[in-house]
Amino acid sequence: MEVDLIFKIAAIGIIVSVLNQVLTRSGRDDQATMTTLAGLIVVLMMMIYEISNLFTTVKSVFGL
Amino acid sequence: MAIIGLCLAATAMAVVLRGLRAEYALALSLTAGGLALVGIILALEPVLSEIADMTMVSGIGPENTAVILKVMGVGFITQLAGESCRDAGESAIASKVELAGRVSILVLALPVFGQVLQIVSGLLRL
Repeated sequence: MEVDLIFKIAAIGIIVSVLNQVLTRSGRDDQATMTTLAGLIVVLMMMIYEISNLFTTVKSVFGL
Repeated sequence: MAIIGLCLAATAMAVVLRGLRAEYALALSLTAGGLALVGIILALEPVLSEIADMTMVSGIGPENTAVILKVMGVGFITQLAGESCRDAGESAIASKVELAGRVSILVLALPVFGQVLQIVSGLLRL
C-alpha cells in the first residue's frame, strides 16, 4: 500500500500538468485552472488520510 | 529497507513534480514523510515496550517513562512538520512549528522538573 500511493500522487500530478498545458494551448485557460485545482484537491485528500493515519499511530504508540 | 526504497522513490517523484507543479511536490513529500514515519514508529514499538520494562526495574516511576515517551512522540511529529514546511520554502512557518513543539515538550516535562527540585531541596536540608 505504501509505495503505490506515492506513485499515484506523482501520476496525478504529471497528468494534471500535461492536461493543463493542453488546455492552455487550446485556449481554454479557465478549464486549465479548474483541472489543476481538482487534481490538487484529490491529492490533498489522499495526503490528509495518510497524515491522520500517522497521527493515530503516534497517539497509540506514544500514549499522547 | 522498504522505508528507504519508499523515500528514494518519493524523492525522485518530488524532483520531477517540482519541475512541473510545485504544489504536488509538497503534497508528495508530506505523504512520503508521513508513511516513512509510520513505518519507523511501527518498527520502534517493540523497543519502546522493552525500554518501558527496563525502566520499571530501575525504579524510575511509571509517570516518568510516560513523559519520556510523550516527549519522543512530540519530537517526531514536530520534526516532520518543521522540515516539510522548510522544504516548501516556508521557513518562517517552520520555526513557528518547532517553537510550538518545544513549548509542548516543556509543558510535558514540568512535573519532572518539580520532582527534581523536591529531591534537591531534600538533599540540601540534610
